[in-house]
Amino acid sequence: MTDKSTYKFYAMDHSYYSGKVRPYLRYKGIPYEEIVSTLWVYKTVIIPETGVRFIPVLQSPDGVFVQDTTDIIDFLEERFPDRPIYPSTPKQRLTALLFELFADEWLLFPAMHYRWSYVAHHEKWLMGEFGRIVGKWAPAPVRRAAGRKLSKPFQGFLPVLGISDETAPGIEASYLEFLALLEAHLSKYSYLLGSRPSMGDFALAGPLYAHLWLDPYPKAIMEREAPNVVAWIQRINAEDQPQGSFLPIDEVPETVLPMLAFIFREQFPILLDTVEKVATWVDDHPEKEYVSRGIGKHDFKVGGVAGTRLVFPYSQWMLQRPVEYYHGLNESQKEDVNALLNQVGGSEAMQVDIKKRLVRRNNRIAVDA
Amino acid sequence: MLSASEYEPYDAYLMDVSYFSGKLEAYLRYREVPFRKIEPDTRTLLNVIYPGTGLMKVPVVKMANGQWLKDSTPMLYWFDRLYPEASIIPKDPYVHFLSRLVEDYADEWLWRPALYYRWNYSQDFTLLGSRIATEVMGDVPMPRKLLGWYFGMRQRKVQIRGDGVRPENEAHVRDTYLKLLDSMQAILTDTPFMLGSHPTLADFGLFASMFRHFSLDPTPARIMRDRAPSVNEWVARMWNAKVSRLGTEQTLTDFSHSGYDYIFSDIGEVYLPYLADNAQAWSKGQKRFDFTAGPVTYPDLPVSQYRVWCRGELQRAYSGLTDEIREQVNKRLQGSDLEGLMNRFGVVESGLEHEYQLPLGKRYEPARGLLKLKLSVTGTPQDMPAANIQK
Repeated sequence: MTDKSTYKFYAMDHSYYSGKVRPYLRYKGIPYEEIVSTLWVYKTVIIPETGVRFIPVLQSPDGVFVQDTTDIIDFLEERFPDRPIYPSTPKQRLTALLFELFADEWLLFPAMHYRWSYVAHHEKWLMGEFGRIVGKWAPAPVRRAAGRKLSKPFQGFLPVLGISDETAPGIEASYLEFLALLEAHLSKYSYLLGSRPSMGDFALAGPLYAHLWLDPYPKAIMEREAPNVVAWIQRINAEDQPQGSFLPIDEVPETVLPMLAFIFREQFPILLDTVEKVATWVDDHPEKEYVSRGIGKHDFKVGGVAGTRLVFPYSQWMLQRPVEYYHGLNESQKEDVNALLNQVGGSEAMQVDIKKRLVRRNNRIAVDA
Repeated sequence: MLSASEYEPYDAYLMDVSYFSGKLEAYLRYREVPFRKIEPDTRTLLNVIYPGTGLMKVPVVKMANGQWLKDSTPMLYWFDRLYPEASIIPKDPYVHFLSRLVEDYADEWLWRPALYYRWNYSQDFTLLGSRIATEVMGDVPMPRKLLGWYFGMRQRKVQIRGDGVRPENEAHVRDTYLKLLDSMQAILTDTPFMLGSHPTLADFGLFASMFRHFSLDPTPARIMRDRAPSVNEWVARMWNAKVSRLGTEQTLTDFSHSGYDYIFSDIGEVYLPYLADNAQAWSKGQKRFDFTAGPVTYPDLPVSQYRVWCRGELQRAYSGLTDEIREQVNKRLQGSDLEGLMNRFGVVESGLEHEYQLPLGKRYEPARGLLKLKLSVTGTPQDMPAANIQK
């Protein structure tokens, strides 16, 4: 059913960031075809066209390849201005950006932890899923064997992210805390900011659908603890979604505030430290054109438990989005937003001084010249 | 509840003689959900339900926002999330998993005895043939009597003989009903519903066959009245149950009643081995297979893709249990090796993993030309891989 207006979406069902873009494509009614990212597709399309080996990737009908979910969505927002997913008012828009930052970066903790620390519970599916990469027609045992081999790097990623036996209780406790807050909110509202999904919702759908709902072990937790979150996952992944609307007069629902407070308390210390580490690294490596994916280690806390993880400059790039949006507001808008930030313990954090601004160039992170 | 309002009211497509329609309708009535009952004729099945769901089957639901729901089990979960008060899905993971087992068993394994009792005995055959010819196929231009006879004969061929029933195993088919009646009689003599004060998933699952078949068709209904009056009473109680009258304060037990012993032993000794063999036959690309459990054999059964999916869902639920709960569940299966049954032949993909994600995420091409002609004569296949019909 491919015709000239169809976008190609290279993705995987159980892929974190594919789970962010897919419901977006459906909500916007963008004609697309999802293509399983097999080794062949990596070799012939993804690597040659993007230079990196990450999914999802979008290919437009006129041959433009876009990698990185934020870039994909922003690229499509320009081409498909109906049903905008960024609120136009400052408090709501900042909220959407903060949730995107949180969902893309912080929810990695529970998403990766529940997938790989409990892998024995769902290995049977997961390896088959990973194994799709060798091709649709490969027999199941071949796919599972390939899956086991190819998933090794992801499992090895846990210590890098700071997920260990020591931090596990902190991750589980803080995830359950967040899940309860989201459940309370979604028992009153269809989406984060009313009856229309925003960037924040799509970003949350990534980990909450592709990991925490598809994997049987965390799925059982979610079905038990958060039925309204499950309903929201189903809602946001459906086609023919009604458009709905954001709440009037830039209202950020009362039930969103505790989640924002959670974000500033749990995630921002990691982000602010990342900003400092990036500045130091850039000063130390004046010759480098690109910033490495990980630059040394830092201490962090999750759910009050201390651990060590790699410093990810990419997180700073994501942080720049809400911070720069905030600094671009005029005085009266800022006043409104400050009132919100004060309520959720975020005023100071948003004043962060980003000494070395990062950009994405050729699908890699580089210092803004 | 705010999130429910955007979906209300519902158009529920139901048929008065259909197994799964009774299950869903009982739930909608119990929850007092605003719905309009529509009994589709073949034209509606083909022109409305088929494009919306890919099936010519009931029950299906069209919501006020235009989205569709299908399949009674995912629908019950969908509605339960929208209407969480007096939830029918037990929260306790142990009770929840056992509920799913009982519901799945009731949905799939009672199908054969239900169809057997309906079409095997001449009195039931004549009565139901005539009802279906009038109520369901009223718009088909054929004499009623002939139509009813044709339909009944087709059911005998497909659903009885075609589902492995032979003179050697007929007693086992009848026993599946009779022993279940005895178990339910024991339970329902002690409590108003299968788990206590309120109907839950297990009740709705069992209600499908008990209401629309066993208590409706003359032969099994007579048996029910004589042998299990508490079940007979429960059928009526289920149909008349309302949350507004029962209240939202539930007192539920945990499947420890000894009446469940037989049900769990039949699940472990017969039903789960059947699901495993069916999945294996599917993975080998077979169309038919012979199934033997202990002394009974059902020869030449059709391989069901749908039941491969059912088993996958049970396997996922089982894998989601903590080790401790899994131990408990294993113990309740009356000595059957649940762990082994769940792992036997591994995970077999049904290809339907996305088919039942609600609300339905896709539209089906309306049937045209030859396909339309074919579907209007035969309906969509019994084993319902909508995804495959259009290939």
